[in-house]
Amino acid sequence: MDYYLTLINQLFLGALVTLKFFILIGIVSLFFGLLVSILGLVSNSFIKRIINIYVLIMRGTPLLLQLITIYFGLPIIGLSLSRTVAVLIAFALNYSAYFSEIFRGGFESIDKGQFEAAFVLGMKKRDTYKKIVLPQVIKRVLPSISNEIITLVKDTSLIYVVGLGELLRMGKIASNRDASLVPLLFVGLIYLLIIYALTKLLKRWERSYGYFE
Amino acid sequence: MDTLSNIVEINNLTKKFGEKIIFKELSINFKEKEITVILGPSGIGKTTLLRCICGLETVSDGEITINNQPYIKFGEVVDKKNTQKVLNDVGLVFQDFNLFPHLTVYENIRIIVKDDKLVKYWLTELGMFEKKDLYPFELSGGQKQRVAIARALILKPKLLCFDEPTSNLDSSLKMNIASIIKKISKTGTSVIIITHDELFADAVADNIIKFTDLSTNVSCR
Repeated sequence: MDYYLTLINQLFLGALVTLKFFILIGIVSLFFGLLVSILGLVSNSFIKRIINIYVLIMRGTPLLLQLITIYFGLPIIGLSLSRTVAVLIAFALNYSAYFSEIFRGGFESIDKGQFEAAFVLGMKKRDTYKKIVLPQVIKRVLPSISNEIITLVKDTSLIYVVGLGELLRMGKIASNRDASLVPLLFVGLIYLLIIYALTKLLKRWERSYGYFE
Repeated sequence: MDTLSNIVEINNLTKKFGEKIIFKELSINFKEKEITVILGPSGIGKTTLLRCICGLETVSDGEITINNQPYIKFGEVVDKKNTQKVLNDVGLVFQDFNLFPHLTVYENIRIIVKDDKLVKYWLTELGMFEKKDLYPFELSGGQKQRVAIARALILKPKLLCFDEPTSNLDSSLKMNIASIIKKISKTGTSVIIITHDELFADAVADNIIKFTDLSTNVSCR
């Protein structure tokens, strides 16, 4: 019994690290993803091209490779980052690219008539995006955003590569130490619990936009 | 003697989409305080003309004057910084209404003008105050149209344009919308209606302009 209590305590600490990074990365990536997608809509062709290249690189290379490049590669050119900062930057860059594409699809799906109605009614562009377009975009993209958010929880396991003690790493350490797969079984159950709770929250968020069609 | 001045004057207006001429050197005057119907078959360019007047389309050449203010000259907007000031005199009720789906009937109007008395007034005038807490998806076509009209009227435009106002309505409601438009016109608001519905045009218009082919010079004065 003591063994299991000690194991759960260790895994709980790992889960806290996982959740900390998940929340930080999630908030930063959603914000920057939205910003990038709006920039892509209103900017000139040069900026659009830069954004396209950025998205291609982020979606076209593995996240693990990006993380390794930032943490282990940047010091070669004299830029050393802490493990936490390196993880936040790598993940934020990667997930912002995915979110920006989701938001872009959302914006492009909004009927042109909504923009035209706002224009003939004298609404400023900023108000049009904020009060008319964005609420409709959020409703449309929520299912895809929810999907990415759930993937993010599991992707945080990649931060083991820079030596941070998140949930999976703690489970592997315990598994190797005890020559047992039981810790990994517990890790799986904890991920499942986290994602179950998150799914419920995200479904509630989606339902909150269900008042209109 | 003609004492009414023109709410909109169009001189030698040409509009192209790429190489395709929609209308060429079109000249029309729309009298103020009257209901003018532009009648013609679908696809002839009536809606494009209306969209040019409302600022939703650019033009290739020509002039548009709205309420004695020059809006477009030689195909270009005269004063880009004050375009909205000129277009404030123009309201448009879209064929598809374009209500904001995430806002209630009341909010659809209040988001434009934050004046509860005025919002209540126009919703009551259009018979929609009781439905003020409903969302657009809960309304019928005729109800959506009335909300769209109230929303356009809240800014007190001097000119109210309608794009195919009967296309999304049952025939029983067409005369209903005709009487609403006549009521609006009696308040002194000029009205331009685009339609292919001859019966509706006859019922509502003070003037009817028939378009058959706009791709050659057309002058209607």
